[in-house]
Amino acid sequence: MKESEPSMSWSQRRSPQWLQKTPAARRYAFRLSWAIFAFVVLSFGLSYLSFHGFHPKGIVAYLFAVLPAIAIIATLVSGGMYLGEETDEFQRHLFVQSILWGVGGIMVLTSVWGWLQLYTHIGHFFTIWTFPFFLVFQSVSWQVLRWRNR
Amino acid sequence: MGCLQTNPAVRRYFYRFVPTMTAYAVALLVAEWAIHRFHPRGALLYGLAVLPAVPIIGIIVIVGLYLAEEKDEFQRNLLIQTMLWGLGAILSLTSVWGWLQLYAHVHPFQPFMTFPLFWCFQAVATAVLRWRYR
Repeated sequence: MKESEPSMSWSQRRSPQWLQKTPAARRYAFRLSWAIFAFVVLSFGLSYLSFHGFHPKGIVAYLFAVLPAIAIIATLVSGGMYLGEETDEFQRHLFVQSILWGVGGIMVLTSVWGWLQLYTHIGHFFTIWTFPFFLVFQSVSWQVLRWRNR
Repeated sequence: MGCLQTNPAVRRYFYRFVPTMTAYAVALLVAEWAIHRFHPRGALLYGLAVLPAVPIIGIIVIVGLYLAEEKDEFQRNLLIQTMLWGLGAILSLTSVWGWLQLYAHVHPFQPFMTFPLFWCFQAVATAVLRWRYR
């Protein structure tokens, strides 16, 4: 029976090669998870307060509105840190490509929706969805690019 | 002005970028004019709404081509950094605006402003970073 490499972790042995992460990518996943967790908690917290009739005014309203943006900045800082730490240039290239696809996806979505919003009876695009949509576009394209270049 | 020196990849980037951005502006004006003039419905209306999105895809492809062609790693990193700052700014703005819409009843944000604003933020980030690394 062929022995598996002792240095490989359980998750690495189970994952196909294209899904295996470099140490920098693992650190990125860890930081990103925390940033997304903070974003979700803050967003749900604000939605919950709003749903229950809590409508702060003045400076407090602005302060509350800024809170989820801090988590958004944290996700992008973690992306920047990943690009700084990743030693595999090809992986860095794939990540940058995925960001471009994420940007493209969100720009196309908001542009088309914006026009349809003006001229049809389509519902208003609630702009707090821009960030989650970007994350979805970027994550999906990253995995697709990694799978294509496996 | 060493920070403004251009290489062949940058020149090709601008030769592609400027006409595509112009095409975006023209597509916007054409779509706006055609919708007001002919009041189309159904598939034609959706087609006109999609029209300005075609150059947007073109711009993203042009940025990808530049990143692939640029041999100077510093310049490549500079563009990536400015894109990240632009992205951070636009995502933060839309998020803050969305919540203020709920809490402070500010005027709704027009989603098609995301693209031009992203490039404004990216341009500001480029100027700041080029000045920092001059």
